Amino acid sequence: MRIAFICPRYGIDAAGGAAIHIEWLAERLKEANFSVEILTTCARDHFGWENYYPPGKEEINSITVRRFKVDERNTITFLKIQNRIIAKEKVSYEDQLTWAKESVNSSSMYSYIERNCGDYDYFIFIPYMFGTTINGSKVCPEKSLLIPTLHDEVYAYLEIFKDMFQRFRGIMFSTPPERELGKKLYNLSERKIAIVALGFDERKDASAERFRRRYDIKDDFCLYAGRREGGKNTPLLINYFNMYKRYNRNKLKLVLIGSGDVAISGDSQDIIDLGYVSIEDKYAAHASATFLCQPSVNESLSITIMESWLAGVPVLVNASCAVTQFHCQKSNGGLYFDTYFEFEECINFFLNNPDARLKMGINGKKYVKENYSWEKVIERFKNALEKF
Amino acid sequence: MEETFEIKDTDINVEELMEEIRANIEKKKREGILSSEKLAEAEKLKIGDTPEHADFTRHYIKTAEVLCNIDIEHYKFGIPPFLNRPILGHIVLAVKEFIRRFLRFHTRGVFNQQIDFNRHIVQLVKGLYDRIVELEKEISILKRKERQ
Repeated sequence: MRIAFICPRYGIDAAGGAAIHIEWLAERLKEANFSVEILTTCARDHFGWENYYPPGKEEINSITVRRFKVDERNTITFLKIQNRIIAKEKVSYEDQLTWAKESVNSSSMYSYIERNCGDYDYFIFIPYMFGTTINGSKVCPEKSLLIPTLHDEVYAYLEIFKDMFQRFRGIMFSTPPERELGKKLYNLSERKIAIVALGFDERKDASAERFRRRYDIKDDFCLYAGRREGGKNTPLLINYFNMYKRYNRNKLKLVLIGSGDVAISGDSQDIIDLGYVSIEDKYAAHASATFLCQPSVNESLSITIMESWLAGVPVLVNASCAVTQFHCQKSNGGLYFDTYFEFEECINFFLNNPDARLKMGINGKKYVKENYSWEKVIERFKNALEKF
Repeated sequence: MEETFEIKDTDINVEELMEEIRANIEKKKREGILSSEKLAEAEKLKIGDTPEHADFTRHYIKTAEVLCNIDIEHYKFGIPPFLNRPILGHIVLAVKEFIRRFLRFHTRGVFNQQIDFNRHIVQLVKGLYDRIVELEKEISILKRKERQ
């Protein structure tokens, strides 16, 4: 079976949630004897979508990647409409189409799909909100599937997405709350939806002691792992943690790992910003944390909480995120906060109840293994294709 | 995963734990254990109210950068639907185009000056914002060093 994944950017130094999703899934599908290719643009970053990589074919980790040039865009028109969408103003259907047209698109990619539609069994688009998905899925809709990575955000409510979701032959969600949101917004029939998600492997080589020695961290710590930005609610976590330290006299630290600029405000000496760390150190950080905090509300799966649970560490998540709260309730592996006071009480529960903390970590680990092993993900993927 | 495999634990039930935590907070509020200062501070930090959305600030700076580079000479005006009529629409559009060209001769200098000013202002805001981020980082490092 020949499958092409389509995403707006892809490459070793063009990381993004969607790129990671298809990188992991494509490699595992290849091992399961699927013929997998990736169709993407020459863009590296999602700010200007400028052509950076040369167009053509290349191999990345043994997967064929075909790059196509990004079409010229009218950035002014795009930003004007985008600002109105963000401000939740009424945006006409015509303007929504213009916004999609001035988003990232590649006519040469669409021509390739049209010319080679018969050579592929499926075209799988990811994520839902870019031009490559909105317009690319019009070319060969009978073979087009979608991995939406859908969040409850302003863009999801645009009318153009109602039409787009209906157009796909099948949609692969990552979690039940994401599927419910999709059903609610786009009136999807059961026949064309399934849950597939991603798989996670346990890292047995992660050394908590080595991590603590290397970074000279002796005390309990709350770990934040991921991109540091407003959209991920990192400033909220820093503000809450600063307030927590003003009212609680203990040695708890907040350790941040990941890329992105977020000013660390406050005068707390208890925030340790390690910046971008190696993969080994990331897993070691998970293994040595007291608990992980994931404050983001824009999650369709949340890789970082799965990694924390695989390390046997419980999590604290934002109650406003249906997906991460769902994971905590179904796994009995984490707590969730809606206000500062809940944040404080949850942390103190973790610190004062080490046995419960340990059990929650074990529960989380079981949950990931039962629901997100690669074996099960590939099985679900095959079942989804049969269903569609 | 048509349905999620749940982890049942006789000792840990997260939903019950959260109910206990929430009840405990309400009790503390009722009994006045939480100081008014702390309540006011927490109120300011409500989820969704945090002003430090650095990426949004960057987004708006980028928008301003693009918008201030507008090409007024070749700017395409939108055509209102009522001017799509076959004869009258063409006449009105031709008159409007003539007036615009006539006025352009007089307004070009003013517009160019305004565009130039806008560009400088945007560069200034961008530079100041970058400097604020740098200074916040430096202050944070210095404060940590001071305490150590």
